[in-house]
Amino acid sequence: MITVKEAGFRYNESEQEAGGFRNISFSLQRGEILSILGPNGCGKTTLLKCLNNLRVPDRGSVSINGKNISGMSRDQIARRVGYMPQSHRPVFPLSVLDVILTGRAPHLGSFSSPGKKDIAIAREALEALGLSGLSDRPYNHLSEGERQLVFLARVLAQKPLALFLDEPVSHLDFGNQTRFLKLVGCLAESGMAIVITSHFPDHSFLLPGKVALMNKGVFVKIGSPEDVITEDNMREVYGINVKILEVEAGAMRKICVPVFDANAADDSSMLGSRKTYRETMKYLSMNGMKNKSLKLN
Amino acid sequence: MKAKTSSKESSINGDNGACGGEAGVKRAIFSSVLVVALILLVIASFIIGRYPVGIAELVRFLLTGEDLTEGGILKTVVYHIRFPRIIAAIMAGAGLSAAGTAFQGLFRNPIASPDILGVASGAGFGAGLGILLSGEIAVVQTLAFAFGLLSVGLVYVAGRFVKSNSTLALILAGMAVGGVFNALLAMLKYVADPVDQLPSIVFWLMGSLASVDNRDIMFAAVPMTVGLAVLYSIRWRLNIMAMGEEEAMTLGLNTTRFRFITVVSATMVTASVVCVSGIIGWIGLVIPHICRMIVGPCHKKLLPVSALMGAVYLLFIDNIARSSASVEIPLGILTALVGAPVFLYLIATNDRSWA
Repeated sequence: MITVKEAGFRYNESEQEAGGFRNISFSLQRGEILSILGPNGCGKTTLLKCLNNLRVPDRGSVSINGKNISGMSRDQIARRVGYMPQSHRPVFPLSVLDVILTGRAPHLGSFSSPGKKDIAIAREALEALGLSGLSDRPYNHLSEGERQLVFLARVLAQKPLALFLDEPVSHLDFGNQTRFLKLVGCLAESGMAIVITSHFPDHSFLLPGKVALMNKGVFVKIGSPEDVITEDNMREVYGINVKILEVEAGAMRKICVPVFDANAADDSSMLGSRKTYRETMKYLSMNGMKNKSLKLN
Repeated sequence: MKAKTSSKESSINGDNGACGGEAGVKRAIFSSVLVVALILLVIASFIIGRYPVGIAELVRFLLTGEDLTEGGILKTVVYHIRFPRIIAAIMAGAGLSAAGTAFQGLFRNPIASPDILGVASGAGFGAGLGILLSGEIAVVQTLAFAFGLLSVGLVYVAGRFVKSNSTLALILAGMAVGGVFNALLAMLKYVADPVDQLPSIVFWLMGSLASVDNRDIMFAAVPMTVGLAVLYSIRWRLNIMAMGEEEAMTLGLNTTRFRFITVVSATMVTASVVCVSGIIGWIGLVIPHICRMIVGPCHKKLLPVSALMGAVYLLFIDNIARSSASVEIPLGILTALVGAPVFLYLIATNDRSWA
């Protein structure tokens, strides 16, 4: 139902790659999940925004059910696609229920406000996620994790055909992360097409569906988790050594763990800056020694 | 009987559902208090003043039109002086507060006020120009209204040239255009005749309802009513806009169009108030704040409650302005003297969220 053809986007004409992407093609049917993995700043969020027409791709096209989204109005898109942003900074202390009701907007006329039916749908969504207790709480007093759950409830109240989730578990606790992933699986089973970005390769093994490994604005690999998340690929994209192991946890499944060796020769840098990891460590240890000597005095 | 009760209950719950449960009760009480206060104030405003009007006299005149005074003084006072003034105070208070609420929601900025896009500066310049060119009230009002709209139009055009974050761009453009009109107004004051023109400009800028008549009300009523009606019907969508630009877009809101509609309506309301009353500050900033603290931030309820409270507040202040001293105190002075300390108190005591 979602087809992306050679899409590309650049923030700045002169700047290459910084946050943009190019040559991205994939398609997703109802009930399918695509998880996108990739380092910070590789273009995951920008890609999701283009899938939603929040940003208009410079090149290529994005279509939903065969219809190019660039020709659709905002509420036409919103009736088909739900989007969950990475984080959100609220200004006014709207109640949680009021926030969830905003998800009903694409189904309401320009001059109307939510009625009983919409309130019932919003309450259902809260209940489904076990958040009923939050309903009257001011939304900006919640923790980031609670807000992410509220956002999922809102996107459910929106009743879209497809979901784009941008690092939806980044602020969730250990237990809620797993529950959230299960829920994503259920939503896909119910027929939604889901694109989810993540920083956890393990999560891709837990989710049914395809994985895309993204780096510097392109899909390095796309396919089944077993084919994509390999020791070689992960090393190439993230610059660290990993081990892919098979464990018995509920059922046999693969996990991806980093090889943590403080003495390993690792010369990659964070965020592609010139400073290498080793130089960073040297700087930190020097500072540490200074602090120590201060304490001794 | 039983079925009746339960359906009543569910409808109450349904109401509370949108826009806060606990706030629902508070809101009902607060709104009723405001309505009663408004009615009492209107009656008091007919009675209070240099020419004392008795209640019995007033009621008889309102019901039968009977005027036993010599030369119809009662009719003049009640119908031609106090009636338009009461209506103007209610309209101005309600309009400025509603426009302030709309701008605060639209710009996600609790310190936004109705003149954030320069409507007051533009109108001030227009009024100054009118005073210099002719001095006719109709000319002054028309120019004030026209330049109020023009300045916001300029802001809008300037804001469109900026690619990113159009909301912030609008606010910044508003500061710039407001600055230009303030400078032009200073220029007008500089060249104005210091004996009669300059004082009229200065007095106009301080805001007053002293000379309002029924014709002024007719002049302002149409743009004001249209603007308020539009703001009222889109008020729930301000909640969506308050989520942020991108988010509002993912929720299906055409933010460019929505912003345009809101800005045009709020500006029409503000300009029609300003052209009749001159510049009355602080109401559009402080009233929405107070209301938000009492009835919660959901704009569906906040906008009408703000309008109501603004009407009560300005009618009250206007009564003080015309009856507390031997001369009229300009409204803008009183609203600032009351509004600014209240605002300080609010930001000092509200550590929760600035809103």
